[in-house]
Amino acid sequence: MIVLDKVTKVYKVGETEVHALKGVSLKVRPGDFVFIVGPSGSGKTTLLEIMGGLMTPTSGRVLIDGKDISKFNDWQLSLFRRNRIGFVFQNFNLIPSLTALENVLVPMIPEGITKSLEKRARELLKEMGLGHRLHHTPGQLSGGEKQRVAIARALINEPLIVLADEPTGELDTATGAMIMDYMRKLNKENNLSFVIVTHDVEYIRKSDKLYRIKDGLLHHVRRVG
Amino acid sequence: MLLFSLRNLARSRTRTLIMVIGIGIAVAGFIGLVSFSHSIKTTFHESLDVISGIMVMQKGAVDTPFSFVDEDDSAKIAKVYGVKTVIPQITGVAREIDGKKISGISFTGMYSFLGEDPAKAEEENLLRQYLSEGRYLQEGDENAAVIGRKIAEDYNKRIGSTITVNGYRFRVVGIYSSGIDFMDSMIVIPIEKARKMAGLPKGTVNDFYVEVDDPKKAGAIAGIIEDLFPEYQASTSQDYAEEMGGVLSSIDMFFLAVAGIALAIGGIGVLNTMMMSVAERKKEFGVLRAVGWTDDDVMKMIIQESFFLGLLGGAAGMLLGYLALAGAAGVMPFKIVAEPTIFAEGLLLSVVLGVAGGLYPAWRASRLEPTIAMRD
Ligand SMILES: Nc1ncnc2c1ncn2[C@@H]1O[C@H](COP(=O)(O)OP(=O)(O)OP(=O)(O)O)[C@@H](O)[C@H]1O
Ligand SMILES: [Mg+2]
Repeated sequence: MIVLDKVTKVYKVGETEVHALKGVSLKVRPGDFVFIVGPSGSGKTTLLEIMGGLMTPTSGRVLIDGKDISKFNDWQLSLFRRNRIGFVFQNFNLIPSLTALENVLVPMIPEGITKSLEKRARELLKEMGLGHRLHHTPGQLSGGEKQRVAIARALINEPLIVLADEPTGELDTATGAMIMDYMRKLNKENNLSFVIVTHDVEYIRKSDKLYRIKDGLLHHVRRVG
Repeated sequence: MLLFSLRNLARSRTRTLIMVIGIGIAVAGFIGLVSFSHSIKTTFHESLDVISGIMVMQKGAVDTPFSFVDEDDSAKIAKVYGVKTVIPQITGVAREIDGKKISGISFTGMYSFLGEDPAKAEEENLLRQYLSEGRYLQEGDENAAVIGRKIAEDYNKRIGSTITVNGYRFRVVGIYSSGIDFMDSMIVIPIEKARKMAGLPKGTVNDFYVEVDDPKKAGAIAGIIEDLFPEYQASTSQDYAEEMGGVLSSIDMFFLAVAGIALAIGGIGVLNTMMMSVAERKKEFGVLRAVGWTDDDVMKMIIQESFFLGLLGGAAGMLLGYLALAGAAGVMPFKIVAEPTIFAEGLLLSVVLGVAGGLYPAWRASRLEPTIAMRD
């Protein structure tokens, strides 16, 4: 379980301070499928970055399975991300020189690629319907295929949670819907938690947890629509 | 990660290639210059080993043609204990061979004539031991000449050929070969002809070449000769070695400095290439950090890349250096010695350069925030 407790984030730009998060509290339980919506500049990306250990909050606590990561140093955060977090980005962020299979394995390169890891990467890509694209480079893949490679990469470390920042932002509606379906499938089959930042409200269903963020404050929304 | 580093280099192929060639040229320059300076030294020391005797000249004379000694003193010097033979010599520059002018000092050295007493030449002497064809001068010779291998090659002379030096005709009776080009560039002729050519009065020669019984005692004997004849200076090859040592080490320093500059430019090249490549891939490093790479992991990868850059450059440098030396071997007046250790040093330096040039860019890349993965 992931718990955010009165998390704030203040960016300092020269003399001025930007209060991106003004005390956000949130619980994500195993198997939750969480959507966060909100206007531009409301702090969505900042929130994901803090949940995923890309940076530490200015104040407040971030508890992952009871452990507070808000005081972790850079090295501890790196290992935490490597072992517990899966990231999916808006613009895929694949390494252009590497094949689909290699891209999926990238997070594990520092630990060394074992045969069993490689097998897992192949299976993940097959599960994403990319069994025939293992050795293609990103340049040879469509947007939807790229995002599926990126999802496979997010799963290679068997994460506790997948954090996705506008994962359908660069895809057409049909492809976006397909990507959402893949993530829902993974959520159901593996009881894996997802937190997804999106602008596309049509993907949201009644059973999902929905939050709205505005001016750095998070509000739970009971009804979709 | 190794494979990943290599892929990254392969990605910007042109840039990697240009860099590899750049480092290659620097390393080849290093290998070439160091080998060159080694070769000069080796040739010099080999020549000194060949000259085992003592050169007696007029005190203060810069070179043999400007030295004048009394021929009668040769008998007195011959009496010094340990002296085997004393050969009075008259030397001069061959300004013209077979009617063709020899312009200045050419790259391949210059030719000179050496007058010796044909009667005395029967005795053991320096050039006589290197006789490879025909005979040495002998009593009664007037127009006979013994020529060095280099001259024989350059002017296509054989035993029995005629050769004209500064307007005087000689018949080639012998050819000697010491294996050292400048030693093999002399024409040995009867001393009376040489006297005419040099315009020296009777009883005067340029120098004495003194052969000793035991070359190890040459220094001591030279000292005795100088004590007995204060107007003369007696030099052994050891003395020349000391005199030349300073010159040689400045040549060495110069070559090393040039090689050092070449290597420094190579290092700056690596730095520049890696900086560019890091700047282009900022976002990628952010992604690597986001998916769990530590700052050290990123640093390690970039150092690996520049290590490979250095390794490839070193390999290219060894190849280029080898080709350059092989090319120079045909043109230079001395033997080119290319030692494997210099090639190994070149490769090692190149790798060190590669890694050193990659350190700062690697550090810069490792300092990038992981959050740049999420933002543009
Ligand atoms: N590195 C930074 N330095 C200074 N201010 C920042 C920085 N990153 C974000 N901000 C500011 O913090 C606020 C929240 O930014 P954030 O990126 O979290 O918003 P967002 O909801 O993701 O917006 P969008 O929908 O446009 O992606 C914005 O006002 C933004 O300008
Ligand atoms: Mg955002």
